[in-house]
Amino acid sequence: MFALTATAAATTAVHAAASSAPKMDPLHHFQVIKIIPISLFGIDLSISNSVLWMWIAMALAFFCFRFALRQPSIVPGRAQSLAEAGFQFIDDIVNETIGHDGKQFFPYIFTLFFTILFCNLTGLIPGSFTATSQIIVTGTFAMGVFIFSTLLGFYRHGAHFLHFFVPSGLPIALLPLMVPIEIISYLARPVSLSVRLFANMTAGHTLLAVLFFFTATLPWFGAWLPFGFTVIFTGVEIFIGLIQAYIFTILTCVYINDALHMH
Amino acid sequence: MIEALLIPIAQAATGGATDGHPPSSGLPQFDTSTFSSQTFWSIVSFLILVALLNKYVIPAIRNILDARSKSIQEDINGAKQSRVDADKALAEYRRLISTARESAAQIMDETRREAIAYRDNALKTLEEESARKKAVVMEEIEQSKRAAMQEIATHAVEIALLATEKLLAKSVTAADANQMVDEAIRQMGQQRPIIH
Repeated sequence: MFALTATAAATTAVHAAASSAPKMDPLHHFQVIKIIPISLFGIDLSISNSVLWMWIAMALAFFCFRFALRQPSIVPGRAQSLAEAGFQFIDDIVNETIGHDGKQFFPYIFTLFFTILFCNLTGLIPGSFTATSQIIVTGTFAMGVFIFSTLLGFYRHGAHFLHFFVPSGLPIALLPLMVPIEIISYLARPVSLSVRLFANMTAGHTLLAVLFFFTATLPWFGAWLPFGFTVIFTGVEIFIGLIQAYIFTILTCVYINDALHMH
Repeated sequence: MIEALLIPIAQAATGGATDGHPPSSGLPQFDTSTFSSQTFWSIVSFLILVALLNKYVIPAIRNILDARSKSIQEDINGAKQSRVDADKALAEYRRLISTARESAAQIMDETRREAIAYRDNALKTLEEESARKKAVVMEEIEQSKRAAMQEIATHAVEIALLATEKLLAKSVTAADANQMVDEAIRQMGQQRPIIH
């Protein structure tokens, strides 16, 4: 208790001392700020900047597709080609990873990919908020995928799904070792899924924030260096945003495939 | 100049300006007070977006892709049909050309044969004609020769007789007369090839 208070006091003191000079707080823009406070049965359901930017990203995804498909034709225009390429991309992932019976999950996987992609990309707009840099958002999606695929496995195979944790062709003596490992690795799936996306987004944006801070505070002859890095790194972040959305999607497909086919 | 532009951006990004939020000890993402609202809205928004995309976007793209693959399939089928037709036409033309070539060769053969036959025929006729004419001419020559011989023989006998008569006026015996006649006739016989 004392320690906590002391830390707080020390922080406040440092804060007060540094208030005259610009202070670096690269984690500040991950701060979730309530915009419209809503509370239902004592549970906080406020609209925050995170929720708002998730809605903006989702709306952008939806309206980009609607715009691309405003006049669908056999011979596609540029926007329509792009929309079709996105569709085909997810369709190929689903077909190759899950197979033919993956079709029923296609709308969910399609939405998941474009939600994450647009959250990642809109987060790069200066002054915006990256919903996918929130562990609870990526965790919600990852837990959704985890619970869905686990229920799917039990729905498809009943109690036989437990054999998933027993690797075939293994000596009986090794089973007490392998089964717990399999169970732990299975339970680690949502953790790795959510942390991977959240950590990538957080790290990238933190680095960008630090570089912007240096750009703003260094004298002009030094500022161009971090500024140049922000330009390059924004490009890298766009790539990372794409890659992470892809990884999240393909792992989702792998987990669903495991639940369906148990291998 | 650049600094003046960048400072507000940097402040927006890093929180350089004071805004009343005390800096937390760790990542703001681990502030559990924000979890319930973000979880709730993530699920709700995701499900709404699934519904919207599933209604307005996915079927539209699927229809277009299906329509395109159908039209491409039709094009391919049409092209295949055209190819089959073209092959058929080509085979037909080849057949026609070879038939024409054959018949041309046949006509030429026949013509050549006919020409040869005509020439042979003409030669044969000519030969026959000339042989016949030659035979006629030879016959005539032979006849006139024989007539001439006859005449000469007649005249020779007459001359011989006359000569004999004149000689008889001088004393000629019968034996001498016969001998002289024979002599005359022999002499005529020796002169015969000269006529030819």
